[in-house]
Amino acid sequence: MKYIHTDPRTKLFVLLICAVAITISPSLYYEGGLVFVILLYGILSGKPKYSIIMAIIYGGLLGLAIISNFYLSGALRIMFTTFSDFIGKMFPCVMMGGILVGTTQASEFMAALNHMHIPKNVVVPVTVMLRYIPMIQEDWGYIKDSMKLRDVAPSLKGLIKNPSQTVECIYVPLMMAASKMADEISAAAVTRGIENPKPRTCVKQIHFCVQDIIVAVVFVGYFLTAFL
Amino acid sequence: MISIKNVNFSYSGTGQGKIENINLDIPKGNCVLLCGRSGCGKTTITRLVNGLIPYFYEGNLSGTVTVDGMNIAETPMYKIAEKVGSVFQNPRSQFFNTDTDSEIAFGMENMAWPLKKMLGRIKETTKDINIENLCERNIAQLSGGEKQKVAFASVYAMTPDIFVLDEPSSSLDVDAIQELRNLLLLLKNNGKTILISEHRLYFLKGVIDKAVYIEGGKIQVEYTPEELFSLPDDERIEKGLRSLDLIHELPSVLGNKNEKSCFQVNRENIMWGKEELLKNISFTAAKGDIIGVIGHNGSGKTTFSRTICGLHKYHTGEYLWNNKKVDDKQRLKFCYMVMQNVSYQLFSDTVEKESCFGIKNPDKDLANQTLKELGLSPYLTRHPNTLSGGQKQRLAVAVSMICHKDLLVFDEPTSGLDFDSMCQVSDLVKKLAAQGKVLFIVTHDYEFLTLTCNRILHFDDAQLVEDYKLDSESVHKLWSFFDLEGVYK
Repeated sequence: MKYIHTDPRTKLFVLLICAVAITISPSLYYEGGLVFVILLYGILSGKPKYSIIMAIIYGGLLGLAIISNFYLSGALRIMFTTFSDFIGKMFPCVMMGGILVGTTQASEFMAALNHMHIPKNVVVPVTVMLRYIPMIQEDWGYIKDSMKLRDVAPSLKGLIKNPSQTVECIYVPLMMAASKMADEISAAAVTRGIENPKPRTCVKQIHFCVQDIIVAVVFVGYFLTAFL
Repeated sequence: MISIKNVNFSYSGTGQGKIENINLDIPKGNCVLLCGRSGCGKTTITRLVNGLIPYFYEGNLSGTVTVDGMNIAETPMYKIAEKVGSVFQNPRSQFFNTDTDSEIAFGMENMAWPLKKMLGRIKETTKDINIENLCERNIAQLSGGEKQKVAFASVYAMTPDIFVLDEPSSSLDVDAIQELRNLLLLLKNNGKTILISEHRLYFLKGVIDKAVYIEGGKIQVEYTPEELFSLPDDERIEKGLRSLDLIHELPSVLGNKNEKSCFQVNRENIMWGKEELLKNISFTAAKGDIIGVIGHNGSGKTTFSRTICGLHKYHTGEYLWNNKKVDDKQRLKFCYMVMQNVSYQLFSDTVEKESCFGIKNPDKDLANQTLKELGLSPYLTRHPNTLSGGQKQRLAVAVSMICHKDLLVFDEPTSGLDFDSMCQVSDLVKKLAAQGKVLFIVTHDYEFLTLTCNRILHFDDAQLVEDYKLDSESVHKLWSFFDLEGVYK
């Protein structure tokens, strides 16, 4: 199956639409619908596994919100609904952001930002950040191994039994690896002329096509249903 | 082409890597090697030339650096980038794209070349560097050596006149080092000027035109290639330099007196996804064995060592420890791995806390004793990440001793180390062996193997090709693996 390929600018636009839709969202069900649309988009863009897992987590949160609304009362109810509300509000954008990062090449992204006339000193750090995200996964593999060797299991059980230690184990080496990596990537970037003021070209040409229009129309259409 | 005049530099905030009164002239088409101990300032000199100093690394700079008529301190970074191409040590952190073609084009895109010119140049580059097989590939799936070649290609495609390489071989295997050598020769044939900083020297024979030895931030001696490669051993060792000719390094460990096996692997098959990575592996090991694990990239060495430690679940063989069967979970209790990047293994904010981290009822006396033994006592209150690479490695080893681990795997413990540090690691490994531990060393470092190991396991083609005691007779097997009688003769 061939996945649809959308221009990074369209993805950024969709992300913006999602953010606005969430702020004006009339109901919990509207948000659920939005996540469903994002899920479809994620599957079609070639990130089915990620999108489905995220949708399931969201479904769980939604269920929690509904159940607590029905069966709980008092402080406990407020606690649960606030929690699921809060996460629920962030969720669609996080999910969309994940799809954006997962399906966009750094060079495409830079070309898109250049087309939008965003200044270089914004483009460079954003690109380096985008580049680092997939590396976290690799780092995580090493950290998981070393935690197992030290008998501090990186599991849910470990997190509940020994939260501070588990968090420390992940956070400290990850931050150390991240800062070193960011330094090295930036050095590699500047020595390859990333700051050249000439308008950057791109081997992978980016341009809008029918798919972009369809994706944009679908999201804008869904956004407008909030006013019905 | 490159002229460095009366340059002094010190990094702000740290005394490491500062340089004093550097004067160096490199004519067009020459290849100059910078060598010396870790922290002597050779990397700093490469940064003077590619503009990372003063642009990216801050500090006190005096003197002038001129490259092809440009005064580096006054030229914008992107202009330097068009003239000077840089390749760095870590293949992982030189990438921006997920596919190889975009990556090769990255520098050209920055220079705003038109599409047609870029596509033509990508073709030329992949042909020159002989990486047509890597086109349109996902970078994450490439080996370290292949990644390094793509990084090289990306720089090469920009057609700079000068190449600056900062320890490019540190994480490469034998074959990749040979290919690196070929690339350097290709550059020389094209009349490019090369500045290379390296610990490994043997592969540069016949490539360099001059070697500059740096000590304590100052240029001590300049050698012609003939002078460098005929340095007597005692003088070379006194200068902390790695071997100049590997074939002269002979095994120095005289076997293991203990013959009684305590660790046994039977009919092991290791899976990676649906693929059988290693088939039918059987061997035994005795206490005090120091076993070098060799094999080409992708031969499954790393997965093999993760399986030994109980970290990789997908395998079908049987393990015995003191004649008792041990499953993955049990092996995790007595096995330990010292990773290539030890930073992943250190979790606490002080060395002292680190030594007892995660241990229920830690034995404080043992911890202090061990830290003292490994020379870490002066740093008890330091943050582990402020230690040097070698100190971090020793701390990871100290942890394993405090946790009473009896089987240790070292993954590439000497990548990027100078001679002195390599000897320290070797001494440490031998000390652990003398305490009756079983040691596995996964490495591409011939010099370290002959200095440290008494046995070799050689994996290739999905199997254990050879298992032999390393001595002056069997060493020729190592020679043929490292191809020492071929290219470097």
